[in-house]
Amino acid sequence: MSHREPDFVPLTRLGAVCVLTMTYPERRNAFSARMRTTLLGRFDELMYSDAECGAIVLTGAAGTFCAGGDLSEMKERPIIDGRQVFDEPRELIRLMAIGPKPVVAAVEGHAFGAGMSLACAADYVVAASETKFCAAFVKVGLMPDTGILWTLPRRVGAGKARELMMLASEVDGVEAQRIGLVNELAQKGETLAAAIRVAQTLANGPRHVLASLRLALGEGSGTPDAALRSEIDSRAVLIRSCGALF
Amino acid sequence: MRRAFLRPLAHALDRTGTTGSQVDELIEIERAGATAVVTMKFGQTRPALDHAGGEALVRALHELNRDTACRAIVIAGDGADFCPGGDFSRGAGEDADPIALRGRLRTATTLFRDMRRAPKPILAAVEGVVRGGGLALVCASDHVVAASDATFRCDALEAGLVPDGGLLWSLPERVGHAKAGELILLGRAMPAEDALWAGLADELAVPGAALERALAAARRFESLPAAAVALIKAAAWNGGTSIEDGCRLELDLNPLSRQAADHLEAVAAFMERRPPHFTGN
Repeated sequence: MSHREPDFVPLTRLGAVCVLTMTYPERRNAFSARMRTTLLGRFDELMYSDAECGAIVLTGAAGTFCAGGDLSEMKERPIIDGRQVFDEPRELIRLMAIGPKPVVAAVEGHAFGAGMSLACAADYVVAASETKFCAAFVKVGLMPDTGILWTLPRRVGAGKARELMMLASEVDGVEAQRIGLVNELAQKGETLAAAIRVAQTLANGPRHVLASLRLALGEGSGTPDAALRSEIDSRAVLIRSCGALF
Repeated sequence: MRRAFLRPLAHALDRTGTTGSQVDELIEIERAGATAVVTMKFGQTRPALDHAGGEALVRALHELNRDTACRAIVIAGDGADFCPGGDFSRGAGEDADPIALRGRLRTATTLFRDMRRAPKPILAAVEGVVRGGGLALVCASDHVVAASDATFRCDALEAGLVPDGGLLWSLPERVGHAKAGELILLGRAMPAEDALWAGLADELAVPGAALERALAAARRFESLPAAAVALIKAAAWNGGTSIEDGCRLELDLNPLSRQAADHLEAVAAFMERRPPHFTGN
């Protein structure tokens, strides 16, 4: 039954780079239940069970990244169900943030709500000047979610993150690059190519070191002691497994 | 013997049209009222809990978490032992590559996380020997019923390994750091009576009756207001370690639990001097 339905996140391989394209154009690639499940499955597979894959590019179809949660699916639910809705986004963000392979986002059109959260969870974000970012959550009476409480302050600093989440103000690609939300600007229509270039560089890098680095940056560098512990924990493993020299 | 005890209950439930029992070679899920019993299957070809067994448990929990008819989960072993040993990283392409190994070990942490943050209570029914990943399962459970002749042992160090499955956190949480250090470093087999004293087990059963006692305990758990149980488990999962963490959790979660239908029912029942009837909402 489900195999007849269109694939919400088709995978394209370009050597060691895997491109995942969120494809639900009727709702501007909304982060719907099916989108969440499919994204989680793809990321899980690529991160941990695909030896060919060295880096992942996340982008959206039809000129836009992701419009955020699918409001048409939001309804009153029993308390337990309401919490379980977040199970998949939580696992997805864990994979994007601390899984072993680098993630690059190519963002055009809109990155709103959870769409902005997904972009923020990438290691490197490429956008066009016209791209619109908005942590729109409070506009629809929601608490910001999908990891953005953690990822956004780390990208843009605590003060700017507060502003972007509380006022839900829209920023374009130029402003987003100025504040650190975006790493690189490309022409409209060219962001995917630029993202693939970066992903190729990352995929050619020392994979074990990048995996340890992502892990350390993701969960082991909140305090000076934690950061130093991460260095020590991963250094010994790297020396023994890949002959890294120190 | 155990089957004879369970089947009539499962059968009674089958007639209501709710999911019956499921079997595969790694685990079996049976129903006893609103409680699901997950039995780990061991045997000559598969004497211990391995990577595939861990994955099967993750899948079972995933399914049961979404099943509103299930209000409590009991985990048991199929034979004389709860879990005779094993390593979650065994059995799926023994690859020394650190990224691949990390991926395999992830099953152990995923299972531990899923047990701790499951919205419903999880009980362990322990007979015989608990070793290897079994100790991690016990420590991740909310309520542990042990046969009085059961023994608990952490054998990671004798294989030159660091314990997995959350044990580095969950064992000290249950028994304190001093006792946990002793169990992990010396690998002493702890008898059930000591385990009860140390807080590793919550109640003892006569040998052979751990599952029966666990099902009786599950009956108490399954009648609790489900939303509040889920929130309390979520609070434990967040692992508040300071007074401030504890206060924050209380303030975060209470406004939600006060909206639960079961809370309003409890208030009404109190006012009307009758026992509450909880619906799980």
